[in-house]
Amino acid sequence: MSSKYHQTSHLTAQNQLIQWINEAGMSEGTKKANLLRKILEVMLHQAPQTIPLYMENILSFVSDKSTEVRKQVVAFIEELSKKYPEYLPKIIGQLQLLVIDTVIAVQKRAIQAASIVYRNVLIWLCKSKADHTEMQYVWDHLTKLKLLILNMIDSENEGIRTHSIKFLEEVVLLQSPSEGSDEDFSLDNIPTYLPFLKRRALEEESEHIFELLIKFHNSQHISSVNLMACMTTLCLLAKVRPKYMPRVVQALGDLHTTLPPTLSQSQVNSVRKHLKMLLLNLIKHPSSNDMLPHLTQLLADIGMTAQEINKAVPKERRNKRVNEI
Amino acid sequence: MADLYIAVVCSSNMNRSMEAHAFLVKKGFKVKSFGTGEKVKLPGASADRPNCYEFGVPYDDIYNDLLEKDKTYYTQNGLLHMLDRNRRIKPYPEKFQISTERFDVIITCEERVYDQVIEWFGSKRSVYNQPVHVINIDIQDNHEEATIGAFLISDMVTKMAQSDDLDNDIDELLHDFEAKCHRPILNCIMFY
Repeated sequence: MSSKYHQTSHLTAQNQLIQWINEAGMSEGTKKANLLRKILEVMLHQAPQTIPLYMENILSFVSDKSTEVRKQVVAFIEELSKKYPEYLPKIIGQLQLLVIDTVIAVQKRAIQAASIVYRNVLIWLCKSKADHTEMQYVWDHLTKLKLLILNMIDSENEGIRTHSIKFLEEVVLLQSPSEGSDEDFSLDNIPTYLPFLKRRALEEESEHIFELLIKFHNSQHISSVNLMACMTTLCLLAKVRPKYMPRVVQALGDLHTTLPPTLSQSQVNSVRKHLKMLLLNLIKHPSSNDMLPHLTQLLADIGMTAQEINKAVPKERRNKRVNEI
Repeated sequence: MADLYIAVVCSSNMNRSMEAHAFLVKKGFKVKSFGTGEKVKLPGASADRPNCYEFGVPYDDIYNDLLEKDKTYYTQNGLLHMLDRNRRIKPYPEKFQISTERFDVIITCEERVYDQVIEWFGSKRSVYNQPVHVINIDIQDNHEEATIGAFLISDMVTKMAQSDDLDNDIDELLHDFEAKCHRPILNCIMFY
């Protein structure tokens, strides 16, 4: 009875999907995007057995006239990479096209998705029993995608730069050793048996990208929004990968003494407030133990009293030095 | 960007954020409102005895509670009128820190609230890598200022909605807005 019920419900879902896909083919703009949203909802969450049947139909919308439709295709790729990574070889090329789309909004959505897909591909490479050539195909595409986005940190568009920073943060995290925290994916999880994945090269690359982020952070013509995005990224990296902590604290200290000259007074206020919030966040984190004197000094420099700083430091890590300043 | 999703946040989700919420809804924006405080606080019979409620207690219940406590007093100081307005907009005050929705822009009404919002973002790892602009405009917590504040917020959101590429325009947009409204603005970008 139950299996018969499921068969009927699958059939209903499939018929509904066919109807919507046909309707979407004859619609345009918002109507098409709304139909696509419904199609994806049913396909991904109610009738995943239809994914191989209609995936090509959805992916063909990658060249649709409507920006909203193309953004829906990005959402489809992102969701597939998470739930059904076995389809990665079929979708990775399309994501590359969307990252270099002619419309900025689509590009930004695609870069955002790329940071999620990047993680999902690495997890898939660790677990999958797929053919090695298929895996290499996906990895090669992803590498090209990474290089594309890496160059976008110099884009003329503010938002593209913001999204690139976040993507690069993800790459540095995934391609650096965990240093003891085993809660998340890191370089240590990357298998050694895949000939196209070289741990050492990946780690070197993450080091290079980290340096690039520091350089971007220190640049004199950075906008206040991107400066704050970059500060947040660097602090996250310092917390999760403590080897970066000294260089991050150094960069924040340099920033305090020489803010970009192009910022208005309000932007200076926003950046200084952001700096204080991040430093307090760092000082509370266990991985900043060795840097406590530097962080304490920096907080004193930005105007916090010894009592305020003392209050921010977790009890067990308070030392005399805090009181001395 | 006609489909901007906006959050307006004050301390108790009673006065400033609700005034702006009502105003933005009337203008057709997609908006939600929140408070960041520990509790929903309303003035009481004396300054040291505020009326405190948990987030999630309906505006309707708070209205009836105050009505019962002192109808004349809470009518005169405008609280009953405010609660009546609020219950027509949504059922109950919502706490920002437990919301799971993702907004494009979050507008806070005082610096302490802005701090709490960015602290909340700073305390967790981003999952979707989706950016959100957090902007603070100082608005005093009284009826008149909340009305002026709602006008200012609406003005700013209208300009944002007119932009084809908000991420690219926001620096300039806020700079111009600040000069016009003569109030200091704080802003940053965080990620969901």
